[in-house]
Amino acid sequence: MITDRARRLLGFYCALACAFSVLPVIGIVAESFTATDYIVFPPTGPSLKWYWAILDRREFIESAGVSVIVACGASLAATALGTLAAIALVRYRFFGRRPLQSLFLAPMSLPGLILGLALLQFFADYSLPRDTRAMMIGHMIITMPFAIRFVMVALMGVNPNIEQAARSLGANGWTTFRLVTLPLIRPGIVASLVFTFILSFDDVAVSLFLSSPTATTLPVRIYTYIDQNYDPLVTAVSACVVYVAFTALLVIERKIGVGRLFGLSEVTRQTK
Amino acid sequence: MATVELIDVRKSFGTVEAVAGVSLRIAQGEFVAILGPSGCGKTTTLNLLAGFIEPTSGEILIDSKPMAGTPPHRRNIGVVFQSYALFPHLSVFDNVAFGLRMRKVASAEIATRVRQALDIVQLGTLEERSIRQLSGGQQQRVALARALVIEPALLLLDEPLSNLDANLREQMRFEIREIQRRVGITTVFVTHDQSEAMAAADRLVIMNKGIIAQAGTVREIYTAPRDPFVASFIGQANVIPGKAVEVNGSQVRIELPGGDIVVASRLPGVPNDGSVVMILRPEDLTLSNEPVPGHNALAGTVKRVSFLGSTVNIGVQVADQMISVVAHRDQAVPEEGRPVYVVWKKAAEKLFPKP
Repeated sequence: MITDRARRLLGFYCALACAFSVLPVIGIVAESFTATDYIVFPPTGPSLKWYWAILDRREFIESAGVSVIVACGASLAATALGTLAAIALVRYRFFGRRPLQSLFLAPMSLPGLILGLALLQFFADYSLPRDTRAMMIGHMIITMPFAIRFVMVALMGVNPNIEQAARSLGANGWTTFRLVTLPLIRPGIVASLVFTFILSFDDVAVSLFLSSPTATTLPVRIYTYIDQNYDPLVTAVSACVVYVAFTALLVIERKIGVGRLFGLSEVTRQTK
Repeated sequence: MATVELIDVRKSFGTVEAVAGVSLRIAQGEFVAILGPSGCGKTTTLNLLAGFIEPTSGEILIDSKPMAGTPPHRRNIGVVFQSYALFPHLSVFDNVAFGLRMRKVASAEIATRVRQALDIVQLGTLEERSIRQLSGGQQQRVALARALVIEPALLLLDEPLSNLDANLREQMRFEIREIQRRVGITTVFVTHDQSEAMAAADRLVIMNKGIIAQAGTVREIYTAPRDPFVASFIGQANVIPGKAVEVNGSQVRIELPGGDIVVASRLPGVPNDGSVVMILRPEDLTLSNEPVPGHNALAGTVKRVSFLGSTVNIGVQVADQMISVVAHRDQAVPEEGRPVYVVWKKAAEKLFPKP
C-alpha cells in the first residue's frame, strides 16, 4: 500500500522529471521571442521579428518539408516492413529465426554516425544519388528495429488460437490479417508509426551523412546554421516545430485520446 | 454432417513423433471423444483434422475427400478451443456471425441464424455485449454457437471445458451432448478428463504415446480393456503384479508378491508362466470377515476409510500393496485396523501380460 505521503512524494518526483524534460524546450520557445540579435535567456522584447525572419530564409521551410516527407515515408515503410517481419518472427518457426531476429534489430545497437557513414559509402559505391529517397531508406533502416519491436510486442499479446479460429471459420490468410489480427495489433502499429516518425524527424547522425544540397533535413539545416551564426533564427524555427507537435497532440487527445491510441483501455482510464 | 477417416496418420516435430500411426473411422453424426494423458498426441490429432498442421505421412479424409493440402478455411469445420479464442474486438453477435460472413450469407439470414445459434446455447439476450463482459461459461457458449452456426461438416472441440469450474463443467458436458444430438454434427471431442469423455461420447478413443491404445464404446473399454494402461486410465483400477505358476484347464494360478495364490481365468495372449498384471476394479471387490467359497480372497488390514458421499472408498493393505475397495454408503464398513478379506467373484479380474 502506498501511503498518502509517499504518493505525494512520487507525484512531486514525477513532476520534477517532466519539468526536467520540458524546461529546455520552454527555454527555446521563450528565446524565440527575443528582440536581440543574439540568443539570450531570459529574452528581451517580446518581439516576433525572428519569426518573420524565417520567411526570408526559404531553406528552412524547404528543409522542414524534406523532414516531413522523409519522416512520413520512412515511418510508413518501416512500419509496413516491420509488421511483416514481426508476423514472421512471432507466428512462424523456421531455421535461423533467432539469428534473423538479431539481424533485424541490429541497427539499434550501432551508433548513428557509423550507420550514416556506411550508408554514404553504400550509395556512393552504387552511384546512387543522395536525395530524399536515399534519406528515406537510411531513416527506414534506423527506425525499423523499433517498428519490429512494437509490433512484435502487440502480436505476442494476441492469442494465436484467435487467428486459427478465424481460419477455421473460413477466413484465408489475408482476410484473417485484415479483420482479426490488424485490429488487435493496432496499438502496436500506431506506436510504431508515431515513434518511427519522431525518430526520423529528429535524426541528426545519419542525416548528416546523407544530406545533400537538394535534400537537407531540418535538424541538419539547424545544425549547420548554428555552426556559423549566433542569431535566434533557429530558436524560432524550433519553436514552430514545437507548436506543430503540440497542436497535433491536442487534436489527437480531443478526437481519440492519446492513451487509447496506444492501447490503454477504457477501464484503465477510468480508474485514474 | 460428414464421415471422417484417418489412415495411418503420422506427425513428427523434428525428432519427436507426436502422432505415430493413427487409423480411425468416424461415422456420420457420431460423437467421438479422444482421451489420454498429456503428451499422448490427442491435440495434435485434432490439429491435423482441422488442418492447422499437415501430417508427415498418412491420409485424412473428410466426407471421403482427401484433405491433404486443403487449408483450414476450406475444410468446412467448426472448432472450439480450450481458450475459447473469441474475437475480443467484436461483439457477441459479430463473433457468431463471422463464419457466416465469410460464407457470404445474406444479412437477414445471418441475423436469423445467429439468433437461433445463441438460443441453442441459451445466450439469446446477450447479442450486443462485448466479449470482455462475459463470464467463462458464457464465453464458452459463444464459442460453441460460433462453431455451430455455420453448420460445419465436422465439429472439433479441444478441451473446451478445462477452464470452467467443476459444477459448470458437469452441466456443460451434458449440454454439449444434448446440442450435438439435436443438431447431429459429427463431433470429435478431445479431453484428458475421463468422466467428461464417458458422459458425452458415443465412442471413446484412448491415446497413449502417439497411438490409439483402444477404441470402442464406453462400456466396451471399461469392461474389456485391452491393456493395463487402458484399464487404469478409465475408471479406477488396482494394479497387482504377479506370476503365473500353474495352468489348470481354463484357469491359471497366479502367485502374488505376498505369497497369496489366486485363481484367474486364463485369457488368450497371457503367458502360462512368467509375469502378469492383474487388474481389479474397486467396485468389483467386497470385504468379508472370512473367505467366501467360489470367490478369490486376499487377506489384509483396513488402513483407510473415506466417505465420499454416495460411496465409501476403503483402502486395504494386502502384502505390500494398498488395494482400493468401493462400497455403497449404506453398507457396513469395518473400522481401520481390522483384519479383513478382499473378495471378488471369479472372472471379475482382468489378466494381462506384464508390459
